[in-house]
Amino acid sequence: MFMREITLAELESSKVVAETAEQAFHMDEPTFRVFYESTARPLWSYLCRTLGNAALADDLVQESYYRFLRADLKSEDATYQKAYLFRIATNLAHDHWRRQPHREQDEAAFPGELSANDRTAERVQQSSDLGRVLGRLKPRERQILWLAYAEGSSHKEIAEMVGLRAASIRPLLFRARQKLLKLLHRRGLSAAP
Amino acid sequence: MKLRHCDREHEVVHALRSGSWPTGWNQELRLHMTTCPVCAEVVFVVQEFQREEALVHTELQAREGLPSAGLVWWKARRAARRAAEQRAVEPIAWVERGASALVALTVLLLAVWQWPRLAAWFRNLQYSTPSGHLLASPAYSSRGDWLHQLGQVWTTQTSFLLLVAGGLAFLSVMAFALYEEWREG
Repeated sequence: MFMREITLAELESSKVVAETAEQAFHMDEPTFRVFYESTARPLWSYLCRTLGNAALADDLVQESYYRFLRADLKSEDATYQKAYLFRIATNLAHDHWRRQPHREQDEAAFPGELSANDRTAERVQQSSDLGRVLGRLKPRERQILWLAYAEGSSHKEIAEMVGLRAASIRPLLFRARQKLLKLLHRRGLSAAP
Repeated sequence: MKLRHCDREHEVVHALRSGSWPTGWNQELRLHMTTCPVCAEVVFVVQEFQREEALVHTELQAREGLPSAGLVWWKARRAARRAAEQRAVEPIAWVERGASALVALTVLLLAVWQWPRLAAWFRNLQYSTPSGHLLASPAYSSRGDWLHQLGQVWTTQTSFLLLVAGGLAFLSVMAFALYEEWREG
C-alpha cells in the first residue's frame, strides 16, 4: 500500500535472489528440452480433451511445466517425471473446475453439446462422436479414460497422475467405460462382439 | 453394475497403441480378443480414442503447433524471477507499512493527549483581539490583528503548532498515498 519506488540497491539484491531462484529448477535447459519434446503434446491433448478448451489448455500447460521445474522431484526416472507432470496438470484442472460454477463447467466443455452461437474460436472444434460424448462425462471420468486409453497408462500410473489409490482405478475405469459405451451406443456406435 | 475386468486389458491397450493391430498381434492374443467381451470393449474404446488423438493432431497443426521448449523455459524463468523479486521486496513493504502505522498512531496519541490545549488554541485564534479579550463576533479581525495574533501564538505555543503542522503534513501524505494506490488498483 505504501510502496515507494525501489532503490537500485534493492533491485540488485533482488536480482541476486532471482538468479538463485532459477537455480532452484531441478533440470537444466537441454534436459528440459528433451523432456518437453516427449511430453508436451500428450499433456496438451490430455488437458484439451478433459477441459474442452484449447486456450485454457495452453495456459495450464505453461503453468504445469513451471511448477514441474520448481518441484522437488525424488527421482530422475522419465516415467516418474511424466507422471509427476501429469499429476500437476490434473491438480490445476481440478483447481480450475472448483473455481467455476457447476453449470459453467458443463457448458465450457465440448461445444458439440452447445448451439452454434455458443462456439468460440478457442473452443475445441469437435467433429467426432467421442468428443461430444466426453463432454457428458464427469471431469474425473474423462481424465481416467484419456489416461487409460489415449495414453495407455497402467492403473498404477493413472493412480499417481490423478491422486487416487491404485485399487480405486479399476472400478472407476470400468464404470467410466460403461458410461462412455452407453453414450456412444445412443449415437449409433457400439463395440463389436 | 457388476464389475467385469480382464487381466489382459493393459496388454490389449498396449498392442493397439503399438500400431500393429491386427496383423502384428500374436495369434493367441487375437483369439482372446474375440472371446473376451471386456477386451472387445477395450479395443473399441481405444480405437475411438485413437481417432480422437488424430483429431487433436490436426487441431494442433491448424494452431501452428505448441510453443517451443525454449519459449516455455523462458516463461518459466521469468515467472520464477518475478516470484523471487516479490519475495525479496515484501519485507521492505511490511516495514514501511509498520512504520507508517506507528507514525499515524503516534500523531493520534499526541493529539488525544494534548487535545484540551489544542481546542483552547483554536478558540483563542478565532475569537481573541490583540488585547487578549474574546470577541462577540467571530468575523471581527483585521489582517494586521490576525498576523499579530499568529505571531503571539507562535512564540508561546510553538510545540502545538509543530504538532498541528506535522499532523496535517502526514495526513496529506497518507491521502496522496491512498489516492495513488486507488489509482493503480
